[in-house]
Amino acid sequence: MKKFLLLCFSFVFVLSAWAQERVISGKVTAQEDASALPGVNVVLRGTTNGTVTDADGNFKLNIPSAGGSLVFSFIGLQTNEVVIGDRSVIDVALGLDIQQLTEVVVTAQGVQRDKKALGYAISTVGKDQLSARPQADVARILQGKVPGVNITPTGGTSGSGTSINIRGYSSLSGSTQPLFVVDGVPFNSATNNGSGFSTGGAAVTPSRFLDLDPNNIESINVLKGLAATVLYGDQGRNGVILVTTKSGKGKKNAEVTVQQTMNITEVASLPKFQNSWGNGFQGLYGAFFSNWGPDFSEIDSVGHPFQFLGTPSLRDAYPEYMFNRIKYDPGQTIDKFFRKGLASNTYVNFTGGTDKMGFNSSVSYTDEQGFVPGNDVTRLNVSLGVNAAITDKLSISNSILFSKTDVETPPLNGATGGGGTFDGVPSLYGQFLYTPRNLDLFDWPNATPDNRSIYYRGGNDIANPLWIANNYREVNYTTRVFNSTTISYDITDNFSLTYRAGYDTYTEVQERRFNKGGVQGPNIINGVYQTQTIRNTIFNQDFILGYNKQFNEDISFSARVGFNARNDKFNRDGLYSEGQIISGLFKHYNFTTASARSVGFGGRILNRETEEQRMGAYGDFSFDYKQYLFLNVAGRNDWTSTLETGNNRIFYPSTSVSFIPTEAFSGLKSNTLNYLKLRVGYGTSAGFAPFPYGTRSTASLNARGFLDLGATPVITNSIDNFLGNAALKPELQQEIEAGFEAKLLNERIGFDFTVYNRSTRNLITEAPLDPSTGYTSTLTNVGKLSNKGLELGLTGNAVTRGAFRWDITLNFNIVRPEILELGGGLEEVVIAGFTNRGNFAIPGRPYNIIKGNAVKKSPDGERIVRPNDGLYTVDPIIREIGNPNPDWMSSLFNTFTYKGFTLNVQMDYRHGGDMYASTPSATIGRGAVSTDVEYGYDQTFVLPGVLEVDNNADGVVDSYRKNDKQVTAADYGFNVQFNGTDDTSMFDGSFIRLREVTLAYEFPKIMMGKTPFKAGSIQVNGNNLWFNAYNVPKNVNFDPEVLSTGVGNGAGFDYLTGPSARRYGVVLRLTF
Amino acid sequence: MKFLKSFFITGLIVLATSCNLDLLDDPNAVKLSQTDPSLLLNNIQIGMAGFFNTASTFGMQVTRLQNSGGSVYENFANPQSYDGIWTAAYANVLEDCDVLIKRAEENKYTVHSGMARIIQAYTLSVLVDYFGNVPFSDALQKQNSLNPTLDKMEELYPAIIAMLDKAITDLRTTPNAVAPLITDFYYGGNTTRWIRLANSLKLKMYLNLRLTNAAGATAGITTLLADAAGVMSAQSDSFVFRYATNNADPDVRHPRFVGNYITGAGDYMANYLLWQMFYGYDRHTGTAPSQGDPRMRFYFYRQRSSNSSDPNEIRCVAQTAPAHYPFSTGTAIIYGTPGVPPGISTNAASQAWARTFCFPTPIGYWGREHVDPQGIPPDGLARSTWGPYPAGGRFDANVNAGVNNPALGMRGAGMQPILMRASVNFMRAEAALFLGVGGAADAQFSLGVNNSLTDVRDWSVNGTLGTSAFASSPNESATINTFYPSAAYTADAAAYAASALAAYNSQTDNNGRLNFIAREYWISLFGSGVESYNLYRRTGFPSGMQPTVNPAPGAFPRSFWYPSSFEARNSQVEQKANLTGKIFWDNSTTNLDF
Repeated sequence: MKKFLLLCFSFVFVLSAWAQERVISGKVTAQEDASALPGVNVVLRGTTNGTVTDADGNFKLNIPSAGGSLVFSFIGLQTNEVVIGDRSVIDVALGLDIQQLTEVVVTAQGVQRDKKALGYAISTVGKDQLSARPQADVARILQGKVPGVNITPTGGTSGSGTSINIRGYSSLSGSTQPLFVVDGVPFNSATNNGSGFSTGGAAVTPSRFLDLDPNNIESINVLKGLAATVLYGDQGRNGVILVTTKSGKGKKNAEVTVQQTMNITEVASLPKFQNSWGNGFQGLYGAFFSNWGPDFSEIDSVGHPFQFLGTPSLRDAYPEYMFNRIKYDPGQTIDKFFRKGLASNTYVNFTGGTDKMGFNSSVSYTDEQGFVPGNDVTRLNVSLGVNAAITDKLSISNSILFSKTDVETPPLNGATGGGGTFDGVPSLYGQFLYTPRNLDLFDWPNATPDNRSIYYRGGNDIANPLWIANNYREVNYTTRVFNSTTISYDITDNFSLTYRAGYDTYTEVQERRFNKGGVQGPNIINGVYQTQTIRNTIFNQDFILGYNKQFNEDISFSARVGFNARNDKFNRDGLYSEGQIISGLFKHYNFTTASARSVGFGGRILNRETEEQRMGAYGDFSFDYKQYLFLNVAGRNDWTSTLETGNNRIFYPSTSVSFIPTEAFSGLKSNTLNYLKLRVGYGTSAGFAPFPYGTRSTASLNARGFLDLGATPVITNSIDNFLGNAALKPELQQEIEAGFEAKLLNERIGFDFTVYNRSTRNLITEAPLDPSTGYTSTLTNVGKLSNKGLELGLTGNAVTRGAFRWDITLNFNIVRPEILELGGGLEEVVIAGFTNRGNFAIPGRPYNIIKGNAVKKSPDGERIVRPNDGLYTVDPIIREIGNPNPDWMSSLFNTFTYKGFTLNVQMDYRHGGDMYASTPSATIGRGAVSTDVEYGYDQTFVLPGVLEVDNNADGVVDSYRKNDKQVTAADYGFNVQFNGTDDTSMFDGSFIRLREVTLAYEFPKIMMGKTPFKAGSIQVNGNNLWFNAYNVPKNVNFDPEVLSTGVGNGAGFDYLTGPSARRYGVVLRLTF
Repeated sequence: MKFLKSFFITGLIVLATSCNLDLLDDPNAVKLSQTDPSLLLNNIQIGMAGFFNTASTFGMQVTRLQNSGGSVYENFANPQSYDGIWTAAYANVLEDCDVLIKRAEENKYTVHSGMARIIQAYTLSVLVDYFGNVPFSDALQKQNSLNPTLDKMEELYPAIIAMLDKAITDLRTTPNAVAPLITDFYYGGNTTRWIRLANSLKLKMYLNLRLTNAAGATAGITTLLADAAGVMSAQSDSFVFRYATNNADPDVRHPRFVGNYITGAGDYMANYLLWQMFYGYDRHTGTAPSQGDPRMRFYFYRQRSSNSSDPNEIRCVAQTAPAHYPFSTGTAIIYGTPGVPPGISTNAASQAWARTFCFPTPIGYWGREHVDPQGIPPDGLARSTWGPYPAGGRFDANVNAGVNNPALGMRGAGMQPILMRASVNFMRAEAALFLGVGGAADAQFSLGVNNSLTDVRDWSVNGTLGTSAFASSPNESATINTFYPSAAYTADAAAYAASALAAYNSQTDNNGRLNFIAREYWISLFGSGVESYNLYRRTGFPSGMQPTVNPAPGAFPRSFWYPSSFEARNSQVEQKANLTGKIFWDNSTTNLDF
């Protein structure tokens, strides 16, 4: 690592000297291995006269006549002062500066800086924590590994999207996802939902960082605060994930690494079903969705459900069942549906280079079967990273990433278990988890001979899940090319010029293939085929002029002034066809009607293009004083194409200070306190319109507004419901953060602590408008929100005894996102979900608060029961029913090493965070799963609550009395737990989870010496091996780590998008 | 240095060419200036039908023309339920009308503006009748008023009537010769019929005013009846929106058909209406096809020919009727409080029908009790559902089969009966009775009954309602003409009308007569909840309707919650405390809280 950093420095600071009275030359080497050290500062003490060693560690310096001494310094190495005397050649060996605890990190715009100089928090995750994991998704590998970063998968299927939030939420309607920067340039990480979450677009769409191969990543740095991200402009306001791919920098000997991973993916959170009673309701047998039928001991057999199919053609399809009786026992075999998906990854990496250049080339192929039949992810990654010093002054580095990512899955639309799925778009899990206990899915056909779904309900009104798995597919094929090129030129000793260009383009083909013969969705049943092709391009350029000056050994200064231009183009076209002719054939000609609108999936126009242009000028100035006081001042001025001239420009600054008392006050440093750093940073950032074209109102046209009986299309024009706002201005976000870092007890314990307060004023919001304005939404500068939080990283060495070492890392994180005010007369804004059950922004309340319908309460807060049926009365006004923001989150890493063995155990814990969870409410409400206390169908309940008393029958409630109405178990389960009010479906989302275990064994060098291999290791690993959501009824085994509303700003909703996944496997790595 | 220069120059060229910030016009949309008045008018006409469909559902549910859930009245719909019609009204219909009218005025496209003004007036009148005070003069002001203030409802009524007068003036003005051609979804381009509609809408509004401003109502009705165009009277005068049969891009079938004829019935019919139509004037004693009200087979399709005995299909089979439910007095079966509700049999044979709870008839008609909140059993292919009138479904010719087949019946080519000529007759009867204007009450009552009977069958047979401007729907004429030939229907209809008139004439006071007018008007309003809700609040009739299953359903909504999207986004508005607040024209003291 260090070598490559040094080499890197050498490209930037190659200097040439010119003649003066006296020339001193020499070579600087490392004490450790006698290798040459490039980039070492060499200064004549007490002057600003200095130079830097070249790639071979050599330096030449002109100094005036006799005397003086030279100071050799470099980050991470001990500073050495050598008296020159009359020597003309001075060779120096520099040792590692352990006391200095130097860590070099990559900061904004790819600048490597000493971590101690940073006045803000930054987290680094190295390749050891990223590669060889049983997950293809880099974001999910990061879960828990960075304090302050909240990562939530949208579902358990392989390839589904992942939401990332760093330090809370910065916006109501704009993106709150961080910026991905790969090798210095932006990398599109969008989740291009094919439709809204209620039309099946949320849980099936991958997030585009899925295209990154975690094995090919050298390191990830997470810039969390605005003080760290200001140079990235408005795009950096949600944090920046800086990915550095392997580039072969610093490597000299050619090396080939082969890594083979074999994993199993299996379902991790299947309920434990009850085996006491079967299909029916109120104790009677019947083809309900529910399991409130008679006890299994009461009936031996029942008529085969196919006998009761209402449609003659279905009944006639399988006459053999007409007189058949089936056993009435818990013969259902849902678990047979799920498979152990095999996953493998083959990764081959070539790396090597010379003094002047290095390269890294890798090929990686991943094939991952999900635990659901029909869910597969395959990915091919080919990458090349090259860096070369063309001349002493000119260097080039380039990385090219190619990927082809294919994801297939059955549809996973949201549902509450209410009998259908949202908007009639089918879902594998819509009715699956509460399949009646006595019905064996695998025992009978799931399709008629003409391939129509056939199932157990008389009306055949729900689809057979097996039929869905066989006949419906959501497909996503993406080809991506990403290139980052950096050219650096050293103009003089102090000035350097860098040009960096990034071109990121992908083509994402999304297909929805729904065979005819289904039973749900008026549009879907006839067969639907939708193709969408999304082409997204980012062209990003930076010109940076750098200046470095070491005034004397105490003060140095560096500055960068840059200009950035970023162009984003999004282009989507597609076709929607309905009315399949031949089942199984998905070509548009095989359908009767084609449309430019996504008719069955929310109706959006498939053809769309957008273009955005950003420009920014920025400056970044750093002062170091005596290596213990660091000041950084930066600012950026942005221009955007999304706002009208006059309002399209904003300047925003940042500043940060780092102070190292243990360096400044020599008496402070001791064996108890090895290192202390205090830091404070203030940062700002801009926010622009969350989407382009928001300043001007428009109209729309529909060439097929209506089709009369004469089949004449009627064209319509309509004024769009979005009101353009020409006065829209950029928003300004501000954040102040402070923290300290400390090393204690001979570095056995390390602290990294940060508190921050981020607020946004004049928040650009897609504000919903009272429709009586004539419009339903506009973009306005309203509102104010704040995110206050605390991040703590604690590292400790618990035991070191001989070869055995036990290290502990604890990450702890609290975020309190809060809406301070909503301007413009708004009382609330729906952030995500439905208007009557969703995430809301309400002044004075936490961000994303969940509102929904609730049981009506008496003035004393008692729940009111209806006199006629003993069930709860519903409050007509929706109420706040939960806060989905966790109280705090924490991750604990235990690392044990002994000789070649390393065992890593990562435990994650989430405290709090309410969820509207359909999985527990539907499975319990439908009687498929018992609550923790088992009860029979014949048991009765009296709901806790009160009845209204109206003494004089005037319609006015005079008092309340304790409820004494009995209800049946079916009523309790179905009508209270499930079908009652939204508040009964709220569960606490706390969990403890064994996130990751890896056991690696590094083959001893002695052993490898007898083989052609230089090194080798074998690793066994597991992900999500165990979890316990202890506040959810345990039989449900519900995993709260799901986000059914998809990647976006919502949180806390589970709409039966399915169980989570457990993965485990083995990795073999050989280097030769 | 040479390299450096070229580095700079190349870079600057690349940067300069990539710095175009002029990307403000949406390439995906139509510019406002590019919109076409006739195409806007198309959208307005279609939009209004959608608005009416949803608005009508609320009115039908609350007046027992269709089942509603909720258990208590204030829960039959919550504030979010009205977001859809609020948006449809203001953001889709009224805003587009506003833009179109301004454009039409500038260019003297008088037919455009006339039609748009009538649609604007109708839409606004429904909002006032449903919600009370609503924004208008401050509405549709875009950025100038993002929190529109409320107009007083009593001031909106004259404003709406003025709009209708302006519309009539426009429609009588010859338009600019270059005015773009109009697709008229309602009257096929006949402006006289639009004027009749405007007059009929004025009639509806003046009639609402009769309780609080009898003199104004009398004067207004007198004037409008004297207008050259008059009010609706011919079949083709009825204000209906016709759907068609295309099922994809766009799906132009009746929304109620789409909701019930694809995977099976989705809506529940109202048991009380089924009961009323079956037993009214002892119609049930006949044999097929004339069992029950002659319209019954057109309104409802039975998926079963007999009542289910399976509690899995209909849970109330195994339950006893609530204590406050029907009981018998003498030979009559009575809902609610004792007293013989008119229109219900006094025939001893009625006693064969044991109870109204659960099953309203013995022959397979079933829906749900009023405000029944139960879950849904597997009965989608069992319960009664919509027939050809108005939803474009299947005629009940004793072929009782599941409706999970969109090729059935009129294949969804139904219509929205926004204002029918029969309604005008019933309104005139009420006006004659209480204001003494508009002819003889009994004659108008009789005409109303007859027009409704005629139009229901005619619609189902030809799908045109007497207008040659529209292609006839895929209709049920073959089935209907075989099963229920014109002659048989006409005879049954005449007998029904005669019974109704006799019952009307047997009443001794105006309230008794009004009860019959209201009862027949109410039955004729199947599909049109806007007018039934007005009628029920204005008159308190028909009386003796089936009570809610919950003995304490709370106050009947005299107006609806403000939509959530209105109340939560507009700083000028507070949600109503309850639903007992009346619309200004409603000073009725009839207790509807049952």
